[in-house]
Amino acid sequence: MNDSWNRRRFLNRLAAGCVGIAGATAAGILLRDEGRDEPLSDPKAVQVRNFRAHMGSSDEKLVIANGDPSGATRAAIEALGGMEHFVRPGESVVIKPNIGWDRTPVQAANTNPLVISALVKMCLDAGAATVIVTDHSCNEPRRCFTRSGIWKEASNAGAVVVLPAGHRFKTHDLGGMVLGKMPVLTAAVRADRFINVPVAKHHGMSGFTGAMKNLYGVLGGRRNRLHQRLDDSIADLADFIRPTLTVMDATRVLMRNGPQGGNLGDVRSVDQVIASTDQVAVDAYGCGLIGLKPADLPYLAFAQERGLGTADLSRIPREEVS
Amino acid sequence: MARVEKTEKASGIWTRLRWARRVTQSVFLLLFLFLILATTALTGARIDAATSGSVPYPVEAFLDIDPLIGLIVALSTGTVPGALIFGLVVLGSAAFLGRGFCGWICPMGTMNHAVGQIRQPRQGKARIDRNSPRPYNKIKYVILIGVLVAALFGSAIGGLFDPISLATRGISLTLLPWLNWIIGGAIDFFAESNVSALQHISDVTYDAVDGVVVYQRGFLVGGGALISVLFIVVLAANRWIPRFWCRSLCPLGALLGVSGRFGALALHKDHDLCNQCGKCQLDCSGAAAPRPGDRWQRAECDLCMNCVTVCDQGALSFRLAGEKSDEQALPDLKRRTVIAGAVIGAVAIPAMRTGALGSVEGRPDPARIRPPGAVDEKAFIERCIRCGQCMKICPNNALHPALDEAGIEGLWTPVLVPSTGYCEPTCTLCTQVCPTGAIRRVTEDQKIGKNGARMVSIGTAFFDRGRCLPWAMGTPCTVCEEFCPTSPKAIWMKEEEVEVSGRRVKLKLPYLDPSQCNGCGACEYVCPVHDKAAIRVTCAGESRSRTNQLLLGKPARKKEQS
Repeated sequence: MNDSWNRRRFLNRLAAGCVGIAGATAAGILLRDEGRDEPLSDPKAVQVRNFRAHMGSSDEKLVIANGDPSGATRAAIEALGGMEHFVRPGESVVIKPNIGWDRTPVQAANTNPLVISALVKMCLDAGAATVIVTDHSCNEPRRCFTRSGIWKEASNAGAVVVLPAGHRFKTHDLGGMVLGKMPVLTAAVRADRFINVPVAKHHGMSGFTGAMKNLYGVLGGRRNRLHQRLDDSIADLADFIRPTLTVMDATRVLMRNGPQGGNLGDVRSVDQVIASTDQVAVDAYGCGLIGLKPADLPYLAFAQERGLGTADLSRIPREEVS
Repeated sequence: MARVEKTEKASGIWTRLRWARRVTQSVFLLLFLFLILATTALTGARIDAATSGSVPYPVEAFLDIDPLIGLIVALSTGTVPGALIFGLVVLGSAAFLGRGFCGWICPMGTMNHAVGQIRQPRQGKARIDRNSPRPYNKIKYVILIGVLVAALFGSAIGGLFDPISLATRGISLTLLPWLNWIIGGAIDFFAESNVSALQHISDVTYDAVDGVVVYQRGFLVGGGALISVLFIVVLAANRWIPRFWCRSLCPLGALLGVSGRFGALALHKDHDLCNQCGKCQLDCSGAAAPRPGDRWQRAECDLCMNCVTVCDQGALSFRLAGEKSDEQALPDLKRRTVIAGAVIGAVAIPAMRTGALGSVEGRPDPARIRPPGAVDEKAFIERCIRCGQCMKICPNNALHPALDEAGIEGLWTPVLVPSTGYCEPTCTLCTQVCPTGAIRRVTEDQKIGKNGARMVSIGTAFFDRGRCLPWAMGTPCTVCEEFCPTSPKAIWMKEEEVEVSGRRVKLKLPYLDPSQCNGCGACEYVCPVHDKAAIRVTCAGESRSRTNQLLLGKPARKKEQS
């Protein structure tokens, strides 16, 4: 072994030392913690997601369609001018049902899968490039998506079903009174069009859960604290997401023990699908199905104050079809 | 010349048999791993809502065919539950094939075998030394006797030492949570990257492994580190002594070894042909002394076919009638060894039951919440072999191996930990995979108590009003009521006027009806008081127990009916 220094060895060591110092400097610059607030994951996040942008103005009306889930859905959309009126060729559409609970369709805790499949087909017929069906379930998502029947029906109809995995949420600033920075299901807010498809049912705290409360399903994180100011947070969400269209499944309505139900004795067959571009009006009508008045739901008044729609059913034209 | 031809032909048979053994081992190991991955609910785009609650494959098959488990449960309960009858069939086959199961089928044996192949010493002497009989190889007989005597005393604690149970637990509760952590972490990392190609890879990977390797509800295992360490020690031991577990500790190996006492197949040694080269000892997987001149250890041989394959002289062959004089049919057990095993088994069980809290005889630990369908604690301990199948399949990561919740005797038996996950209201998966009937099959209708039948209750929730937002802080909250799955709900709200900082406000306060509570723990899991929930579940009122009851009107009749 020759331990003596020579020129080659000296230059090699010198070069290695320089590379090491440069690397450490670069790492230091890149990883420097400036002690600032954590930046938003998506700096370009739009605070208000208005899915009605670039849509021709139309007279707002409330359509109540009677019949079987699939037929009533089609009739309701036709009465609003057809899906072509809302979805343009090549656009991406997200359909947001309620897939909150590990319950079967007959128990009416989730949106009826046939309502979803009818909407998926109509969107595709209108030329939509992709139709995404997604929700952030309360119970274990794989079970909820399967047992609600929505995974199967929506897939067969041609939709892309997106499970609410942790990596699919990004922090957005909702800029609301209660809702600040919250993780939001990316798939739900990246699309061109957003169709909210709630199921009408009883809810222990808010009284009635329908269109606006269904938007909870795009939020991640610790949603369980929102109940401390439930009505404000519902209005905040409706302010953040302005759906293209709201289609409420009231084919079977959970009258008590909501939002989970489980007992068929609590379910009433109403056989209606309600559709409108005014999500506040949809809720104002829907709460009547379980025997409540719009005045019983503070979040309707809050939403009306913010100009999100009308809670006064006399101020919106109504059309019944079947 | 003729003799050489005959030898070559014969060794051809052994070579083929050795390959057959390797293929068989691989097939059974892959099948075993597949069944562990398949220990999950049937979900997806092709699944009907009605069939989604079922398990698609007989995922507990390896435990069913394990004779030790069959024997333990037979001794502890006096019955042989359903599928375990296959185990006794395998035990019967051991009479012909001895430990062939260990060498050809056992997945734990195959894993040990594989690890033992890594970086073997080149030196023949060192290899022969590693694969020679050792006095401590008799420990497994002590363990076997201890395990069987413990079973006679009404404890299936022997499942801790059973190799199939060990392998199932080791892979389900340590390897898979690691993979969940690593792969799930990688998916999150790439998704965060803001590079759309990487995000796409994340999405595609996620959809491929979701519900199989990556779990939305996480996969944490209470005390998992201990299970990991012991499993790694068992595998790592092969580095120094191949199949150390199989040779020295495995009670199933001991059982199959002694069952092969009158086995039809025996190693025939032709002393005239043997040139004492020692090759046959190089890779003897059972340390069974195959060399002519030594006495073949019948109870150690796992029929790996290595010795007969490598013998150039054709001096070794397996034949139907062996030369009895050249073998040791039963292990040379001293009487004191047998007695030691029996005493350990006989002393250990009563000693563990003297514990006041959590043990079978004492008061239940409040956290000893058993899965739905679990039989009464005494019968449960008679049956639970701690294989971990129920914990693997739980979709909510609610079931965990107990540390002290069920007393020392209940180590690694399943308990529900509501702060980690709750019992999904309509899920019956854990009841479908238990191989020993410690968790009885329960249908969805039985679980929720349809048609006036009493629902299965695993405990009762209790409010901690000092931590509850409405009760203690005058703040509206209703999450526990929202998630309460029973109908009518066990948690109900009543509007009352309360005083908050001198103001009087109207507020809905939560109450609990214990007769409606099934103890699922959803309320505790979702309570916004995140560290220690303001509503917590204990095992009080569990329907499997006749004594652990709160209400007079809620007696357990399950046992009397069956």
